[in-house]
Amino acid sequence: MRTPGPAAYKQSMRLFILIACLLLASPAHAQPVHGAPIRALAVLPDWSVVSAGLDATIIVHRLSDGAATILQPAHDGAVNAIVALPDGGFASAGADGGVAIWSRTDTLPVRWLEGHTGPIAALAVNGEAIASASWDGTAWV
Amino acid sequence: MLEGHTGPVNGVAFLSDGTPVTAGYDGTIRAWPEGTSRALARYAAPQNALIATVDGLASAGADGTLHLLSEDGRDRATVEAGIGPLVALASDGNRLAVAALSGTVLIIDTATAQAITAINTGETALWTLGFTDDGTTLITGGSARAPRRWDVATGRALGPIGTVPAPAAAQADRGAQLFRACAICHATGADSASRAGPSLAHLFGRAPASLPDYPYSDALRRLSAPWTRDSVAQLFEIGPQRFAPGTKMPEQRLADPDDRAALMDYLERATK
Repeated sequence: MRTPGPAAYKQSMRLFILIACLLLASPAHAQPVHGAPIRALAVLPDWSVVSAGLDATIIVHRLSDGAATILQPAHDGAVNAIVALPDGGFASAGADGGVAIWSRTDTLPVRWLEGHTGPIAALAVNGEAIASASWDGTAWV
Repeated sequence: MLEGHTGPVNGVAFLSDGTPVTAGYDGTIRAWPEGTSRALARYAAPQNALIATVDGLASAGADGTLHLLSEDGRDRATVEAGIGPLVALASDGNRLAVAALSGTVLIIDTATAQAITAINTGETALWTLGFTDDGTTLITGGSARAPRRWDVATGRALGPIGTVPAPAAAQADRGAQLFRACAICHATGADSASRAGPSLAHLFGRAPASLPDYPYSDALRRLSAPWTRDSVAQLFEIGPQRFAPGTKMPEQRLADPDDRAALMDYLERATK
């Protein structure tokens, strides 16, 4: 029997490391995570959670099985607030001072509201009215 | 547009009549009836978050103090949370969850202002949280970069989303799963006839051995107290033969209190 030479050994080690890396890396793909800390989240009535990171990404997670949808980028900068809307959708707002209105089915905002000259820190909903609180010192309804 | 704060506005909520109310870095809580502005409360520290509760408002302070106030601004209670700067609030009606940047969450009864549960999320920076609609689970978000779930009653971690089924569904399934063994002999619907065992329709509150169409054993006829969650749970804890010696019910026990609770939950729903 021939023992493998150093070159063959190196190659098989490389292959092993590659396979190990692939195996270790795959679970991370199963559940997408934000590229930065989560700054805001809202629980929707259909048992999903919308989370947004300081990296501006918004992800919808279904609580039952963890199925996740990454939404199209809408904000320029951190998302500081997410609030559930009575129609089943939600609103997001953040560093860019705009408010995005999302339905539960589209991966792009259905509406965009502007007015603040500074970052939005918080949102609240009362029926049809959305209020935003901003670091520009004002609030809009 | 609402102007009046002398600095960033960090929180916004609505009073029960629809009036917007805000909390600011300047430490004030302001109400905005019909576009006018009125200070409801003034605090020494910047206020980081504001939420409406069943009894009024809750405001989270950068000094670690939680203020519970009535809708007209009167101080109802002050909670020195003792967990560092407070950054986020969530409400499920009677209870409030307050998050500290340090990673700790307190669940607070808004009526008594007492902490019910403390949750240590282990996040190095905790930013946000929310209750599920049934109030059993809290979702938190922060430096871990993925939302995490917590049992509101016990403060225990339920793991990241997607690794385990939602607890409410799991509980419901567990009860239904346990009942499969019972369903061989017992029906639950209001119009269903008895099988080898009596129908369990409207079980809780019913007197033992009270169905006219079922041939009960003398052991069951000797019982007098109406069936309750507790008595049925006790039957499964100690076993039918100790509960009612001589019963026709096959001997079986549920040793795990969580299983007994899950089965009682299922019975409550299914036998209504």
